[in-house]
Amino acid sequence: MSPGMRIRLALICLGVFPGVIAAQRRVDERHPISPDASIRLTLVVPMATVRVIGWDRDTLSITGTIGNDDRFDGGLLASRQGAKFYVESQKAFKEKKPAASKPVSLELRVPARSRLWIKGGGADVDIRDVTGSLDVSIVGGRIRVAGTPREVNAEAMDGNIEIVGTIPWLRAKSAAGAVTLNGGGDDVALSSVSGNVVVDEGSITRGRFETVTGDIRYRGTTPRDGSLTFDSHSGAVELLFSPKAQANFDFTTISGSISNEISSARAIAGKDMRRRELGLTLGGGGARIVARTFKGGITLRPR
Amino acid sequence: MKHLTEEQLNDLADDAIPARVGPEHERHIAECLTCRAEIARIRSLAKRIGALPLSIQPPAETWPMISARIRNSAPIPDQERSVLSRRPPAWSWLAAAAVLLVVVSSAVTTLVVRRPDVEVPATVASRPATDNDRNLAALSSREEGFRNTADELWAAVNARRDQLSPETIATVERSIKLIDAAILEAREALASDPNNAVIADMLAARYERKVDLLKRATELLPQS
Amino acid sequence: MFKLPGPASRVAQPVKSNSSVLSASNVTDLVSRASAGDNAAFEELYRQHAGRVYALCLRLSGDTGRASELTQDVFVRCWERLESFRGESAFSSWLHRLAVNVALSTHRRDSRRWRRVQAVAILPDAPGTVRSDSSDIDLEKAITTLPTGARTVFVLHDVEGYKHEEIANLMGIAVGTSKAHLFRARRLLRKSLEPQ
Ligand SMILES: [Zn+2]
Repeated sequence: MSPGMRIRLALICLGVFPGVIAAQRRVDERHPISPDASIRLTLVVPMATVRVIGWDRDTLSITGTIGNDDRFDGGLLASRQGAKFYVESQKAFKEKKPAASKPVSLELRVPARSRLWIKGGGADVDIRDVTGSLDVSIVGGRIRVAGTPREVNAEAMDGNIEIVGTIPWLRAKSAAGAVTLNGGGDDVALSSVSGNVVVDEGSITRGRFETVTGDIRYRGTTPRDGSLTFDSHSGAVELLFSPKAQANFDFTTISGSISNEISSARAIAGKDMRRRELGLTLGGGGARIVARTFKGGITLRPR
Repeated sequence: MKHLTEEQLNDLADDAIPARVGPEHERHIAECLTCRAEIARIRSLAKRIGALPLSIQPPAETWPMISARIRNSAPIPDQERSVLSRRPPAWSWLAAAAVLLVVVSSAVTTLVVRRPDVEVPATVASRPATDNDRNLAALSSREEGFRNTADELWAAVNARRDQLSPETIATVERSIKLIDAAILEAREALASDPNNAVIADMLAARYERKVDLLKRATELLPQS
Repeated sequence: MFKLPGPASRVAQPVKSNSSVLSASNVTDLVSRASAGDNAAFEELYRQHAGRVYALCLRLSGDTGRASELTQDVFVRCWERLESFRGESAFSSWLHRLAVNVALSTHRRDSRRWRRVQAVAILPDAPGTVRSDSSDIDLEKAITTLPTGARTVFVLHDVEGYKHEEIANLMGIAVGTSKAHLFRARRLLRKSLEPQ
């Protein structure tokens, strides 16, 4: 007997209305687990909502609902050093009717220091209060991370990525989605092809920001020994720094414009006339801030 | 009684704590030549494995490749290194182009060879690097390497495009189109100004973005 | 990026380069110089440890070209993350863990990408490859022909000394699966090595 059948029968015995059962099925598992275990969740479903919350207990709990035909598999390694779970909607993929499948909704509570690995197709992944490492990859939907994980690697195709918090090591990339950071980090690289890359109120020591057509906006600070690089083909690069910042700015564009609203320095044509350049020092210099575009405008303005 | 299971034989050969070996199994081993021979065979293989060298000299081009990937043309302060090292500026990769050329071509070979259901002769002879390669011809070779890699990856995605959702394929195609347009523009600008290191660097960055995107697309293909 | 458990029985031992005898302080010094951006120091670290990293990558990938690429990835990553090396473990074990991590993650990606990886270009006669270092070419060749899962477990367990629990954790498989892979690998190796 399949697990689905077993649950269905059990519920019928309890007198639960069968119509509800046909649509969805509950998941409710709880396992003692090592505080820094690696936890893997693979979602082969058209759409899933996953909420992960780090807590101060050596327990992994996974609750929620999945489609009745979805396969739910997995469990703990004997060592309790790891757990993996797998949700698959074979029906939706075989019939190529994503809408036919009920959305999966899961909530995981994990030891805060866990190392988390989540991979999904369409998914809304919301992770908070995890201090371990995160590796999340989705196609569409949204990745949202709030808290202070020590490492984050987030990848999406057309999904958006939103990070709130200070993260020592952060990599986030999307193709068509936006990548936003509100917080900071020591070593940060954010990129998108057509989505915007936005750092809103951040302090980053070493940062690299890249788009092809999307805009890049950085509003924040960097320490005196910091280094930030902005690179876009046709997107606009807008940098908002305090006029009191201690930094050297170095802007280059091939056919875009450079505008400086922070001091009187103006861009000049490069020595071969095929680019415009602006070098600018504020507060006696310090952080190294490099921006280059092919044809997007570069703007420096006071925050 | 029956012979021991493979797990029991291996555990005994390994001198591991044999989880499921009871007194009846021990009696069996004492009497059974087959099982004892089996254990001896596993042990003699283990002895051979134990004698394997733990260190093997890598091919000579390995270090120059690493060096090219981490080195910057100008001395870079410590705190900037890890960001900047991810992509060496144009002229450092030009300087290393001779080496890169060999390796890019072998990477492409690997891709070609690994494509399922295609039979391709195993190796392509590597061209030894010379100082003469350090010119713009090397840049276009490097570019060709990027292009071939991207084409191979795209072919791999395309061959199994029905296994990805139409939305995913559409996103990938749209993004590739945008990157290609950017590449074309940078390429044309570089053609009229071949010594412009900024453009060369941007061009390389766009190619890297394209290859990275295609790699991620291939990773989305179902496993089996 | 997950931290990995270290190799168990055959602990990573730094490989002696021809020119220098290693001491702990030598390595510590090189690491601190390299993490301050000293390329020459990093090159020396490479000279000392590349052999072990390459051997691991070669046996895991079964392909010399791939092994060289993996070795590059490992050292580039090492260079990028050198600052995060706190000296709590020996540099060689830290690097070894990094290498396994890189090799396995790339490998996972590769196997996802290519349904059947065709083992090619196995152990060419070029100088500086297996032939000059390893006396047991038959065994090396037989290892490269193992199926991917079996080969990975075999290399980590029998060659590198990892425990099944660690391997299971690394590969995201059950301990029983790891054992099954290992026994299958040993069976296949004996089949190809022992006279029929
Ligand atoms: Zn027997």
